[in-house]
Amino acid sequence: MMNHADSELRDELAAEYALGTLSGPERDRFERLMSHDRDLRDLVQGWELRLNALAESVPPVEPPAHVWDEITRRIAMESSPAPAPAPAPAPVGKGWLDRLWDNLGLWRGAAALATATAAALVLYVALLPPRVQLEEIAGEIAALGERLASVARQVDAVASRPTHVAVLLDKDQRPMMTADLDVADGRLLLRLNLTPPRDFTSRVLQVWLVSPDGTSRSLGIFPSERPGTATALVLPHDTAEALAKAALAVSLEPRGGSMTGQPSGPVLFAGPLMSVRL
Amino acid sequence: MSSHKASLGRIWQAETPATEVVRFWQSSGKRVVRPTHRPAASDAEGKLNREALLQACASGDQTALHTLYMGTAPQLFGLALRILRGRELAEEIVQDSFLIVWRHAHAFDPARGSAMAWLASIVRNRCIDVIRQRGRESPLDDVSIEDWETPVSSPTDVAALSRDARRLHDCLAELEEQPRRVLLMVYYEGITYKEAAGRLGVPPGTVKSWVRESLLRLRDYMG
Repeated sequence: MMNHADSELRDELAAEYALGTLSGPERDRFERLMSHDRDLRDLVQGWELRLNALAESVPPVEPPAHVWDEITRRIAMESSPAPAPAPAPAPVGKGWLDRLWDNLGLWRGAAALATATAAALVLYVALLPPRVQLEEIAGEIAALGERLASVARQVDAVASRPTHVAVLLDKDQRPMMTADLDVADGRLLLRLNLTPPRDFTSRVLQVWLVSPDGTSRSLGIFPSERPGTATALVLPHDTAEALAKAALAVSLEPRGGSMTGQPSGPVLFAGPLMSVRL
Repeated sequence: MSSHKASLGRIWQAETPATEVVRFWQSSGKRVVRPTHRPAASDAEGKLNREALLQACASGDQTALHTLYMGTAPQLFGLALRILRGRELAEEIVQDSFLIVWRHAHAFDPARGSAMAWLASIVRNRCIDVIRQRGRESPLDDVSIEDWETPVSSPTDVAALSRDARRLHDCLAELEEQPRRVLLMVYYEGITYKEAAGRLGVPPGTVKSWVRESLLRLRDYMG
């Protein structure tokens, strides 16, 4: 049972969170606490409602018209790919990637796209390092000593031959990003090859899993727009399995990611996962 | 009621601590979008209130969102501008916030507070997140010391406030000068104790105890 001092401290922290006086890391920590603690959320809400009555005293400033336009545009984006009350399970395979482009309000020319994807994929698979070589390297490193053995395992883990790969192409069919997926351990390695010609001062790249039925879910924010940036994710098993049968898409989003849970900005590049067990 | 609170909580915990490199986002439940463009909810006199508008938003009424926007966006934009000190960033925050409102209008519980306070808390939280992550567009040094004062001054301004805001105003008027100014400064600037301390030339501990004093008074006064 909480004592009085504890509950005072909780209330104090809740007030500071609501007021916004916590530093970045403190704020993150508090949010993690709050996500498991409904009472704490209630305390915060109480403070927010008390303190934010102050907002009424701010002199109003008319926002420019494009602010509302952008809101309606994003709502429309959000609602247009809403899967119609599914008549039958969407046919998997042929055509669903085309629908992805269409759904996301994108460019056309899916046939050309498919061809380009296949060509880029062959090239990419050919360039994957053969596993034997890696194991040799790893073996050598391991021989150096007990401490280095763990490094070797890491090397092997990162460079392990994937079960699925994807090449994400932009509308001009340039291979913007490559993806290696190992379904067995859920490891997804993403590498950005080219920087999209966009303004990144207040935008980020967000990575989406797009299922054959047209629904998408976020896999996360890509850490940088610099070419050569690679990032490794470990996906839950069911997500990895779903991804193996789906496509990856990358959209341009406000910093912090789409607020809608769906791509809200333009999709810059995308590509389906393909099995490398040819 | 409790499910309302739980879903409201989701707004604050949209970001979950996730795997190693990339931040994962909790995917909240699918929103069923109804393409309704029927008139916004209004009472018999045709007078719209914000609480009813939020409820209409929750049922997918986009015209209600527009009416709500027309009535509240200037205030919210003013708030975001004041905290962020950059138009572009403030516009972005207002956009994000109204999308959050659209998606989470069902989480608003009129029994707990006014619609305006709820909207302002969404906007202000987004502002604080942004400045803790990436700073402001222009430095705080540009701010003249007079700006810290509460914007409300004339009695007619006070009369236009909601009941909650009037009570808050009355409560603030009873506070000591320093605790009151520091609380307003921290609220309207979105700064940390350390930043406030630097600006006022006092130790952070002093700022913290001033703010604490104000907050305790406020809690006693407003319940």
